[in-house]
Amino acid sequence: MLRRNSTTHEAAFGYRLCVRVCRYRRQCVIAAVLLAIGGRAHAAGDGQGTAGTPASESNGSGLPGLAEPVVGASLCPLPEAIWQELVTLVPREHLISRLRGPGKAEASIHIEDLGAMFRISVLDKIREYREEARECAYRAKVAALFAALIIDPAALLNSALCDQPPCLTAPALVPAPPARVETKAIPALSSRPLARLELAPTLISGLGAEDRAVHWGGVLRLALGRGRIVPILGAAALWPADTSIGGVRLRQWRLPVDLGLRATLSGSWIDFYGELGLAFALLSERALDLAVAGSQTGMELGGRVGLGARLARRAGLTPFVSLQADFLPDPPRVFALPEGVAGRTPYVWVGACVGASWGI
Amino acid sequence: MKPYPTSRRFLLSGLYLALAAGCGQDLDVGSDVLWTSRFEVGGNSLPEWTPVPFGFGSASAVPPNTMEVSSERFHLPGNFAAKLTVTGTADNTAGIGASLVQNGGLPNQAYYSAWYYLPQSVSVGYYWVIMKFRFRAVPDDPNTAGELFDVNLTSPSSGVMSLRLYDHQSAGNLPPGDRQLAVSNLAVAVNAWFQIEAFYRAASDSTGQLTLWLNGQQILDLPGPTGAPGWVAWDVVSVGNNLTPEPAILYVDDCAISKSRVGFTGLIAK
Repeated sequence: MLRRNSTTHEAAFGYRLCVRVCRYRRQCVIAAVLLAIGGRAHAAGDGQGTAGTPASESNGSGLPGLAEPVVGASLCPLPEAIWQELVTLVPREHLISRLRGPGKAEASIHIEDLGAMFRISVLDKIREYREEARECAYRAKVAALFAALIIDPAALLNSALCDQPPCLTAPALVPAPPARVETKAIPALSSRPLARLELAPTLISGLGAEDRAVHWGGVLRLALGRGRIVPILGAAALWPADTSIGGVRLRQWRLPVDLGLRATLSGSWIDFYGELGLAFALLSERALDLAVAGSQTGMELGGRVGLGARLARRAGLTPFVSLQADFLPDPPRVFALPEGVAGRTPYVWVGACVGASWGI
Repeated sequence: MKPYPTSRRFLLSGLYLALAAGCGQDLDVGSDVLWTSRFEVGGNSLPEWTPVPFGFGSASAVPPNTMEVSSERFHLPGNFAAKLTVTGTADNTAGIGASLVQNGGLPNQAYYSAWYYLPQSVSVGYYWVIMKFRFRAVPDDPNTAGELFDVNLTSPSSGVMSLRLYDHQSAGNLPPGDRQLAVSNLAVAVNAWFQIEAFYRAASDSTGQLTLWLNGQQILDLPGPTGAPGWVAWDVVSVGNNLTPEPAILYVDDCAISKSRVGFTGLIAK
């Protein structure tokens, strides 16, 4: 029976059950078994755990002679974290007997961190999970649950029947663990953060000006929503820069704001995205060399396109890089006496930024 | 037809306003024009000349010559111009004319522009000065003032008007007299407005300069000593001698002193 209040990340794995909350519940075990069956994980292996092997509390693993029950160069999840979760699901005796049974002297649980995915192998059964948010604690629970299903599903079932685990059980009561495990991708949509906040230093330059000004500053952009196409709102704060239009020396200051849509193409390691929208900007021009120097502020309105890429990490901070261009069909004119209209401010502004993207 | 709800109207109004505001605005960043006279205000009192921003200025005509603000001819944009009427009495060289003078206190270097209109061709027997630069050897001593450059109208042949520059203070071994213009057979239009613009830099050494443009075309570039820095006088005048027919009429409009060139298409007011 599935829990209705399962968390987003757990739902992302398709389990829709809360490992921690329902650790001792029958539903937990039933759901895990259903997962094993529904995930086309076919049973294999002997499934005959050797009961009665005494557990030991002599070291961290609790397995005398089995120094590293969970191995692998994985940072997320850590092998130790998987072991800590595993011993809450399967009695230590069963773990010892299955991992150190006849012909399994060096058997271990192998964990590999593949970035947006991780691979768990237990007793020659391998499964890969996509978990782009890299929630390490959650990964540990999933990996432990998979390992428990492979090592001793009966114990897992029995643990739901007794008040406090570990409880010994007859392994024949439940189906044998799966022999072949397929990679199952987590639905990407539900794993995406609700909002993404990006902050980066930026440089923006206008094309076509006689004396090209480069504006330095910072840009802040918010992408809202989990879909592949989401609305975005951005703004930049830029330092003034000196330029020249029609021979008139100017100090130029610009405050661009944009509103648009972002379409994201997710990859295993890098997400690419394109943006399309409207660009607004406050543009202030101040004469530097005129006999009577003044300043005036106007507004730009046009279209914006952007391209970007970021590391495929769904939550937390991740680096990104982006390029953008604002196209203005009718930019402001700079007027000064006696020249009259000295020229126009740039028709095209291009910019680049490298910064951090925070998935919330 | 169902009317738009208030919120949508508000949104559309805001969008239209943004589109209007974001399209082709003029950003007025200032001016290099230091002083102008467009003869549009004040009538014959010529307030743009008499309370001068650059030291002493004057607007005067020696009878029987006259100077008035007229709407008979005007340079656009505007509705008025100054009408200078002189009786070029033959062989009279005693400063007969009408003068608009910016006298002293001008920048050491600046552009000086004025528009002129000749309603008919005039035969110039001796001279017809329409623009002048004067100097002082010692800026604070009026007794050291002297003539420097005269821009003259000439009539090289019947019905044809042209320009010449007379240099009162020759540089080096050159004698006082006409300076060769860069354009031969230069013609000044009759019954049409034409612009004369000068760049003048006051300097007692080789950094001094006088450059002239007619309707935007450079016709003279004369480097060399001019007047001592600190005192510059510029006159827009009609001072003639032996002009036929008489009286000779010259309209003047849109005079300006500026830090950068007005040019043939420039503006001196927004």
